[in-house]
Amino acid sequence: MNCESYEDVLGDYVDGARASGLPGDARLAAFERHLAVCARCQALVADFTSIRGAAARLEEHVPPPRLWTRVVASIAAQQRRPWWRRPLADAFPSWAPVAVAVSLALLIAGATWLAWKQEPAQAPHEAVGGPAEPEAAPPEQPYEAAIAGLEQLAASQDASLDADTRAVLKQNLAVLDRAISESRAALADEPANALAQDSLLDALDTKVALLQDTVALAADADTVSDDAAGAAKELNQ
Amino acid sequence: MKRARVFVFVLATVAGALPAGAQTPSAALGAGEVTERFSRTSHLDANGAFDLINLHGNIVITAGSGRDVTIEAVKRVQRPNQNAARALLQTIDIQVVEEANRIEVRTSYPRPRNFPGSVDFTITVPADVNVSVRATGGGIRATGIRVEALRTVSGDIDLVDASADQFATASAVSGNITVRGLTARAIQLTTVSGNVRVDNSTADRLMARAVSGDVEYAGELARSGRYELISHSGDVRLLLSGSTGFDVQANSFSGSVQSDFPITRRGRGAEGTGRGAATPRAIRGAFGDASALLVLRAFSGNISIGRR
Repeated sequence: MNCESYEDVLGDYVDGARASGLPGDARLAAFERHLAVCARCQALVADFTSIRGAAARLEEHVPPPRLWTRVVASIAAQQRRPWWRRPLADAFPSWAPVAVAVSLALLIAGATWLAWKQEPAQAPHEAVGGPAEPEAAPPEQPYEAAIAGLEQLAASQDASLDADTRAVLKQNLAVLDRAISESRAALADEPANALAQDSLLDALDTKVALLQDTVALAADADTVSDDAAGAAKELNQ
Repeated sequence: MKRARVFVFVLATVAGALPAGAQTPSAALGAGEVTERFSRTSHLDANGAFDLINLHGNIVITAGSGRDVTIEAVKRVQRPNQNAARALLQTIDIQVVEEANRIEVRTSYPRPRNFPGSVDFTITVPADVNVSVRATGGGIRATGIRVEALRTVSGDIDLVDASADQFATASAVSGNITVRGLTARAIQLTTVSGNVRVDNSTADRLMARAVSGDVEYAGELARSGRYELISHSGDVRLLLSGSTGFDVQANSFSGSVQSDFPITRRGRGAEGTGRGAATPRAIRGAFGDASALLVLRAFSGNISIGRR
């Protein structure tokens, strides 16, 4: 039999299953016999075992609370009204920007995870100050795409926010842009410096979060002024 | 109704001569400022939820001993002309929605842009109610509550003796975050321009970040806890008490890194035991049983690990 015919038991073998001599283990026993003489399958098992070990050592990644807060708030807001009283025109304007912001966040998380996954594993002590992987795509790429989209969205809703809030947001985006510039300059001087790269990603991550908040605030302001204000009187009278 | 309210706003802003509305303001505190009180008492059963969304104004929220939720608010409007201010005051709504063991309070102005008013809240909630607060401008002070999320754009956040089932999060864009005596599975604190200070708090995981401010943790480390303290241009400080050992990865790009603890170092050029002076921009190693993990990072700020 060829190697491909054992695909169905390869995963079990990597997970630690071994033939026990019972009839139900016949396929596993056949694979073990094949494995003893097949260098290709031996390499495959070694690779998968290594990946499995690396995956087991991965830190648990929990979605950021801001994402959950927003998702839960969104669900709660929807549940407050029966479905037949939720016309699209009512729900769309306030939640569409938040949905886009959340989608962009998920896009970043996914793309960053994929980019990271494609990098070879590094020993922990090499993670800081160690050599960067030259062939990996720049990890800031997905951030830049998301930032461009969020900036466009935020600019289109800018008028919904009061002048003081706009000024605070603008000042702090400038603070973040400075941090991004400083990190980029450090990376230009020392391209292999992982700390400079971490600082850049931190600043980009914070900028994405701030832009998401800006979009959500603008959506809130619109909702408050256009939708809730009318209902408020009736609810409190 | 909305058109009428906008009309009142425009008329009051431009002409400044409208009579007071149906609700007479209860006090006039300063020149051109009128205020009106709002009061509501509600009820939440165990493990209920309380959400507050405010635009501008300070928020004080405290855990009480009973099942009542008391909402005291002071609406404020500042205008040179008192009549105009009174008219505008009537356009501020405090909306309270009670549903399925959840209370949502939301302030609304007919035209939030550049509205010359604010609402200060003083709230008491049962201690087991999950609290979430979102403010645009103004500080948040919370004591003894079960917290989910506290967020403000500009203003300080003070969280004292609080707890969370799972995640507790506080974020400001421009403001300091101070946390004392918080117990949660995970704590996330972020500010762009401001300092983050955490004192005597317990969590399996703490993430505290500032961009242009300092980040400080003071207290004991939890065994198996993970502490991630990051600042771009501010300093990162740990003042540790207790005997929990830790594994540390501390790095600053252009600042210094210093430890008062004898750390068994690892990594290139960092072998041996010492107090950190030999590798001024990075310390990687372990102290004691290494049961907690410290990830400390600054770009241009300094990092220090000291004893409390």
